[in-house]
Amino acid sequence: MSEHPPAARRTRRWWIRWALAFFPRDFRTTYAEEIQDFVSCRLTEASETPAYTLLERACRSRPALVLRLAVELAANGLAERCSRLDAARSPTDQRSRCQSAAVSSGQFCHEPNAVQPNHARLPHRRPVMIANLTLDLRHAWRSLRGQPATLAPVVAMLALGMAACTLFFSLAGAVLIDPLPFEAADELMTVRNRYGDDRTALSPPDFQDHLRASGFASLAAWTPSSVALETRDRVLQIEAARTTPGFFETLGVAAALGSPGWPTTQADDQAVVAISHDLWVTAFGSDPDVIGQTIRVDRSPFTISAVMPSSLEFPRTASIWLPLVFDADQLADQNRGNEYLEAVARLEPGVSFAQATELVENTAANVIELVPDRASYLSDNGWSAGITPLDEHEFSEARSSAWMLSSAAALLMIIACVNAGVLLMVRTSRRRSELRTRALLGAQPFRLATQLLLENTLIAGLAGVLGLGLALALAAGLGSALPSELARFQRLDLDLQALVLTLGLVLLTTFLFGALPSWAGSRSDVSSRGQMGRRGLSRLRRVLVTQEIAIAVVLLLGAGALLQEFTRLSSLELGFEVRDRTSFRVTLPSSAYPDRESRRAFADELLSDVRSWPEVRHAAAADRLPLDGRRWGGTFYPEGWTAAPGEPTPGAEFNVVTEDYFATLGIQRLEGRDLHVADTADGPPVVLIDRVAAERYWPDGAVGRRITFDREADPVQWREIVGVVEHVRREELDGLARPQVYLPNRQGGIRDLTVAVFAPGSSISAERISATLARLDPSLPAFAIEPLEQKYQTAVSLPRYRLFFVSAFAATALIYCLLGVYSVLSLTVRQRRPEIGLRVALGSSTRSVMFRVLGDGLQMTGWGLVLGTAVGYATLRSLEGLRATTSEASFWAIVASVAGICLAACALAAVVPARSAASTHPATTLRS
Amino acid sequence: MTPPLRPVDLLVLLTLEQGARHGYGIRQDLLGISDGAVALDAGNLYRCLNRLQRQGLLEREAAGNDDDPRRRNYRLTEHGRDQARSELRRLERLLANRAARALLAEAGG
Repeated sequence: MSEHPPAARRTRRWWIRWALAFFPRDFRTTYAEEIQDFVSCRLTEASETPAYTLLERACRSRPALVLRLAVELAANGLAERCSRLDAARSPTDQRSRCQSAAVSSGQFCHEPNAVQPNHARLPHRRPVMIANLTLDLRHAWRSLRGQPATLAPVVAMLALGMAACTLFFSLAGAVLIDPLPFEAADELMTVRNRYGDDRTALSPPDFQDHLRASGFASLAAWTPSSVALETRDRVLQIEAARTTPGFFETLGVAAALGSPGWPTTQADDQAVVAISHDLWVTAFGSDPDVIGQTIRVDRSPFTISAVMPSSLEFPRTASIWLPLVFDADQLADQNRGNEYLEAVARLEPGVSFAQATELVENTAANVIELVPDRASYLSDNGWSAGITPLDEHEFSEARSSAWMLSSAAALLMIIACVNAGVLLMVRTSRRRSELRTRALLGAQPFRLATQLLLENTLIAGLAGVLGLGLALALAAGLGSALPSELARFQRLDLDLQALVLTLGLVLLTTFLFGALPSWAGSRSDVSSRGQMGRRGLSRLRRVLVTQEIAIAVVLLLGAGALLQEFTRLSSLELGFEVRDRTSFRVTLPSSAYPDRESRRAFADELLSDVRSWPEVRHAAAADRLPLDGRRWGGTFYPEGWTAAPGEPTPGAEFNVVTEDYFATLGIQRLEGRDLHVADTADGPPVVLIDRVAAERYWPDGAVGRRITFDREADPVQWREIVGVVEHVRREELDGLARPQVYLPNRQGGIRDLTVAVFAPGSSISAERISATLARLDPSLPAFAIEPLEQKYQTAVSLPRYRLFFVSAFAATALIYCLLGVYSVLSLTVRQRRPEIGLRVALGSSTRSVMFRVLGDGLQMTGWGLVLGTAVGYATLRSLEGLRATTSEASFWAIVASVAGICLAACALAAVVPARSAASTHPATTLRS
Repeated sequence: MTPPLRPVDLLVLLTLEQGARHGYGIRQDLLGISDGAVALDAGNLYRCLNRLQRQGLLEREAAGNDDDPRRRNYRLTEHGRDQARSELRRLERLLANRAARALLAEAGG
C-alpha cells in the first residue's frame, strides 16, 4: 500500500472518511481504521488484476475504485442509520410512527415493510430506506412540479449560465493555456524586423545575420506559398511553406514517417518535400509506403521524404513543406529591402527574453552600417529587430477575445447564480411555515434534511443536464462559426474541468440558497412565528439584487463599447467596393510560364475570356487584392530626390495590376488617367499612385512626376506618374494608411494572379471559373474562389463575434435583473401587506403607496448603477483595445444610455408589485 | 425463537469455520466459495459483521499480532456455530424433500 504516493493516499483516506461520516458515530469509531485497511487491500487487489479493455481499465482505475467504494460506504451508512432509526422506534408504537412518516413524507404509512405483527423477526431495513428515498424523491418532484413559475426560471437561468460558462471557459482554456502543441513552446520566439512600433518580416540577409549571431539554440525561417500538387486524377492547389534547414528541429517536431532531410546548401538535392498528416490521408490514402514516392509540385518532380504528425499545424494552413535555400544574390545586402521571411527561434536554455531581445537589436544595429544608402531611412524609421513569444504572436488577438468572452460568461454565470439564489430564497420563505409545521408534528430532522437536499439536487441536476445539453448544442453550432482567429480551436471540445466547475457552482447555489435557509428555517424557534431573521434576509436579498444590477451594468457597458468599436470599424471608408465582386487566384508555375511574356499572355487570355461572360461588367487581375493579408512593399526614389538627414527615403506598398483594375474594384480615380492596354513593355514606363502617396510626397501635384525603384541602374528607368487614385484599406481594416503604388502588369508579368470579377446583380459560380481555366490550361487549378463581400465579413468577424456574445450576455443579464427586482419587490409587498393596509387605512394615498414600492426598486437600481459604472469604468479603461477607440466622452455617453435602459427596465419590473401594493384594500388586511 | 439466518450471514459464518479471519480475508473467502457471485465491499461487509456480532454469532478479537495493527480478526462463537449448523440442517431437510429432489432432477436431466 506504500507503492502509491502519500498525496494519493491522503486523498483516498479523505474520501473514505467522508463516506464514513454517513455511518452512526459508534459504528464509525469502531470500524474506521479497519475499513481504511480494507480499502487499501481492495486497491492493491485491483492494481494486480489485469484489465484488458479500455472500459475495464477505466473502471479499475484507482480514482474510480475509490469513488465506487466511497459511494458504497455512504449508501450503507445511510442504510445503517435508517435501520437504527426504525429499530429505535418501538415496533408497537404504530401511531407515532405513522404520524411522523406521514408528516415527513406527505403520505400515510404505506410502507410495505411496516411492522408485521405476526412475524417475530425484525423486518429487513433496506427496503424501508429505499421506500423512503423514493417517497422523498417523488415528493420533491411533486413539490417542484407544483411551482413551475418559480422553478422554471431558476433552472433556465442556471442552465444558460452554465452552458455559456462551460463553452467559453473551454474556449479560453484552449486559447490561453498551451495553445501550441510544441515541446517547451515557451522557448519559441518569432524574430521580426521593426519599424518603430510596426513589425515586418525579415529579409534573407537579415535572417543570415541573426543565424550568424547565434544567440539562439536554433533559428529557422519560412515563407508561405501556394503550390499546385498533381495527384492521380486532379490538380490540387494547396498552401505550402518554404522552410530553411532546421525548421522542424527548432519547433521540436519529429516526422511521423521518414525524416525531412532538408538540403543545407545549394549543391544538395532540393527536390524533397514533407507532407502534412491531413494531406497524407486525403491525397495518399494513408499509404505507409509513401516515403520515397515522387510527386509533381508546380510541375516539377519532388520526392516525399517525410510525413509530419497531425499535431503540426504551423504555419496554420500549410499542408506541404518545401526546402528553402538562398543563393548568394538573395543574401546580398541590396536584397535587404525584400522583407518576406518569417523566422522562428528557440531560446538557448538560460538565456532570458531580455537578453535575446538585446541580442537581436544589436544584430540589427550592425546591419544599418552595412547599407549606407538606406541607413538614414532605416534609422529615421526606428528600424530594428525584436522577438515575440510565438504563442503571443500567433494568438494575441484570439487571447484578448477569449479573455473578454469568458469573463463576460463568468459574469453571466455569477448573475445567474445570484438570481437563482434570490428566487430560491423567495421560495424558501414561502415554504418556511410548511416546514416548521412538519417539524412540529414530529417529522424527523434527518428526513426533512434529506428531502430538502433531494429537492435542491433535483433542481441542480435539471439545470446541469439542460446546461450540458445546451453547451453541447452550442459547441456544435459554434465550432463552424468561429472567426478565423479562433479557427484553430474549431474542434471545440468541452473542457471537463470547466464543466465540473460550473456544475459545482450550480450545486453550491442551490444548496446555499435553497436547502440551507429552509433547513435553518425549519429548525428555528417555533414561537418566533417566522419573524426571526426576516429583516436580515430581506436586506441580503436587496444586496444580492443590487450586485446583480451592478454586474449587468458592467456587461452592458462592455457591450456598448464593443458596439461603438464595431460601428466604427464597419463605417470605415474602405476605398473600394465589395458588393457583387468575386475573386479567385491562379498561380502560374515557372516551369510552364518561364518568362513575363507568357504570363502576360495568359493573363490577357484569361481576362478576355472572363470579360466575354454576359453578366460581367469588369474584370481585372492583380498580384493581390485588398484584405487578403499579403503585403509587398519597398522604397522608391522620386526624380530629383536627395537623401537629407532626418528625411526618410519614400516608401510604399507596390501593387501590380492590369488595366480595368480600378473600375473592377470601384476605386475612385482622382487625377490623371487610368492604365490602358497601350501601357506595354514597349511603351513608356508608367505608374499610378494613391492619394496618401500623393499627399505625402507630392503635395503640389503628382501627375507628370517620375520615380524609379533602382537609382544605381544604368540607365535609370524612370516611371511617369500618370494618375492618382483613392486610398484603399489593405490588410487590417484598422491599420495605418500606407502609400500605395500601382504598376501595370503589361510592363511586369506576375506569376501569382488574383482575379477580381465585377458582375452586378449576379454571382459567379466556381464551376464556371474552373471550366474557363481548364480550357486555357487544364493543369491549373483556380483556388480561393470567394466573393469579396465574404472576405470583408471575415475581416470584421472577430469584432462581430465578440459584440454578438457580449451583447447577448448583457441582454440576458438585464432580463435576470428584471426578474430579480420583480421577485424581491413582490415578496416585500407580500410580507408588508398588513403594514401597507394599515397605512392605507390611516389615509395614505394609492399613489404614495405605489411610489414607495417603485422607489424601493429604483433605489436598488441606482446603487447597482453607481457600483457597476465604477467597476465598468476601471475595466474598460484597462482593456487595451477599447481604450484606444473609446474616448472619455463616448464612455459617458454609453453610461448614460445604459443607465436609461436599466432604470426603464427596473421601473418596468417594479410596476407590477407596486400596483399590487396600491390595490391593497385596508379591510382585507386588517381582517386577516 | 431465533430468526432464520440470511444467506449472506450463513456464508460469512461458513468462511469463519476454519478459524478467525479479518475483514478483507472474509471477502476473499466469500468470493471463493460463491465463485465470485458474492462480492461484498466495505460498507455491506462491515454492516453484516456488525449485525452478526450484535446477534452474538461472532466475536471481534482484540488487535492481533498481524503485520497491520489496524486489522481485527473475527471468530465464530459457539452460538454462531450452532446457528450455522441449524441453518444448514434446515437446508439439508429441504434438500431431502421429495419435491425439491424432483425439481433438482428435472434441472439436471
